[in-house]
Amino acid sequence: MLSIFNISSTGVNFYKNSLDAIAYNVANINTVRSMEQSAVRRQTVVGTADASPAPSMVGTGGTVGNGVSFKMVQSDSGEGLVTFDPEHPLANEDGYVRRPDIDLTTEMADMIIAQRGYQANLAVIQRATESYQAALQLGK
Amino acid sequence: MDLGLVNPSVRIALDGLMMRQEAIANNVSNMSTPNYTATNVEFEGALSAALDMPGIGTATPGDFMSTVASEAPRKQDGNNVSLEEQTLLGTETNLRLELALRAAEGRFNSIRYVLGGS
Repeated sequence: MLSIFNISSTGVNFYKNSLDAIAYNVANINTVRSMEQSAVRRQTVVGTADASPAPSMVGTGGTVGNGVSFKMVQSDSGEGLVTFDPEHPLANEDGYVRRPDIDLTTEMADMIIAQRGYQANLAVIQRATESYQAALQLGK
Repeated sequence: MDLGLVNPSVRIALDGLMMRQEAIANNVSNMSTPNYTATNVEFEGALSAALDMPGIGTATPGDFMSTVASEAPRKQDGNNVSLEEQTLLGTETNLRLELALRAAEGRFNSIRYVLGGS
């Protein structure tokens, strides 16, 4: 009973964490590191389907999964973009620093996807509420 | 305890439709999962074929339910959830649920009438 809320909340949670990762990437888009350190690494959230059956499925022969689980992944090597900037306080003797390999356009596109995904999951919750409410009216 | 107040086929349809809603919720939450295949719950065909079956009163929803993997084309990341399709299917399932609930309700109203209520 009410397991749609559990399933959809995993989706909402997934997209919220995606937005967090994007916020981190954009916030650090100008973070410069010296050549000895690794550059700020771009974070992404990767989902995997939660194959354990939804609670109401147990014993019915159905195999609908239980939403999505996810992990944070740092998707680049940390080498960053080696940039020649001799004026920079962190520059080495040859004048090089590391800038993060983050592309603002990609982040913005990902942000829109995450926003829409968040909304889509909330819409499912909304619809489930209507269904459950209709069921609760039964026999009144 | 089953008093037989709800028509067995209505009961199974209610369970099946709820389960379809869960499948939709699962598909939407996996909208960005790489290599995920959308699933749907089907029961109408098996249920309508079994309507004249003598033992339908004791049948469980699991006897009719089957999960079917979607064969929609995959995106670059191997995922084949179509949000438009899921939204449409969800709205339709909601309406079907209301219809089935109304069928159950009608039965209750008749019983209440027979019992002398209003």
